[in-house]
Amino acid sequence: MRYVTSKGTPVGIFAVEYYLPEKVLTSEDIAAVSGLDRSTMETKLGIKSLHVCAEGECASDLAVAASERLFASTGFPRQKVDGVVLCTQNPDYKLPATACLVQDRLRLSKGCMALDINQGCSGYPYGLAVGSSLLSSGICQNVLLIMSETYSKVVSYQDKTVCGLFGDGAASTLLRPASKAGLISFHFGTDGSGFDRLIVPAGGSRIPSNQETQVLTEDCNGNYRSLHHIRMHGRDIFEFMDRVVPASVASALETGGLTMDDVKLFVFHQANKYMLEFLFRKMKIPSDRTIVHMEDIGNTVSASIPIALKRALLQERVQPGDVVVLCGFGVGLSWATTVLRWCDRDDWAVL
Amino acid sequence: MESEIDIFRKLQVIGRDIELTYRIRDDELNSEEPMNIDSLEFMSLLIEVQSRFGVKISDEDVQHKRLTVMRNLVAYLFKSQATTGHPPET
Repeated sequence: MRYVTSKGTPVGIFAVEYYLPEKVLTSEDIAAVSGLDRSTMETKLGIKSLHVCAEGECASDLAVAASERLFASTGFPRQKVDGVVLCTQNPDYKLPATACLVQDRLRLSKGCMALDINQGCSGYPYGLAVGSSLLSSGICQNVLLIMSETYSKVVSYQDKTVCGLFGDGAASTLLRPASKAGLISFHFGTDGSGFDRLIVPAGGSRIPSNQETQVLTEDCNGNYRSLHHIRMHGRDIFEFMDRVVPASVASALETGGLTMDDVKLFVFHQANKYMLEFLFRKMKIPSDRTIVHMEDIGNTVSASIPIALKRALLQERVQPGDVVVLCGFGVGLSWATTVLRWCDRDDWAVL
Repeated sequence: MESEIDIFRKLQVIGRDIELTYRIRDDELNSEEPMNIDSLEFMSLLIEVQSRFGVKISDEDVQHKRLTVMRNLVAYLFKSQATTGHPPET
């Protein structure tokens, strides 16, 4: 599905901040527990350490911390936020929505809309689409879009296929109406036939939690996991990424009337270094127009794109007027691309 | 139809194109040893092979036909070519 945001109020990204939990696992720590080759983790996956939640630390805690940083850095009055869209696949509770907890803990207005979306690595472009739709339709005036992910809670550290990959983290983005379009176009795709390629099988209604689902079993490669742990079919995910990402990026750019040459920076979901470099080589994107920035945090799922975007901003690799492409892909199977133009200070309405 | 030697040379080109750290040696077609290649690099090799040869290689074939051995991979592609009637893309 393609969509161009030329109708309704233009919308842009006003600010992005992120938060990482304090606890750190190094490649050495993970290798010691899992038997994963440390050199592969560092050189191939491009990951030397991961931040993971402490016991009892949950998605809402990371979400609040990231959002408090955003309010502190921008001085934006929190009472003016009238929409919270929070993306996580590991909510604090089965119900209520984590966004409701965050509305209260951030002391946002009770007139605020709050909802969760359940997406993984494609969550940020999806969230931008939901947030910008609320703004361009006039339903909301200022939307807080939060990606908060805690995959460490579903990773078996005796499973070498995933234990050196996923880290926890949250990013908070403030979306606001702008005088010129910041978010230009979107492209979305879904292939639910691949639902089991990246899955936590138990704990929902299909396979409720019981004693049996908790049992660790060994696979043919010596990895141990229970049905409450994430299982990933790496080859199928790799092939899926290779199949959908170039086409999705091309489609979103075409919808926005732009070409690859117009793009200053491609910020893709930080899956792992090897896969990203494979993809960039195939798409003929030079490294100075890409960002691979996961050495100290790993794959933070839906938070990976806004964290990478924020790091690019801190490095002054994105300036007002620059075209940036964001592309997320993964669990679902689901993928999405957003094309945006970074807004200038003059593009924002006076509060 | 492409000969096994032609298929092997194309695999060497693919290896260079995707920048495998493992160099496919000229004498590897006669070797029974598996390629000294990690799982990520092997996955990327399979993706390119599938794309350029127009075949779908199942996990079962990878395992049972020991496709990490270059000689077996070449024989597999040669046979697939005969079955599908499609020559590999250049």
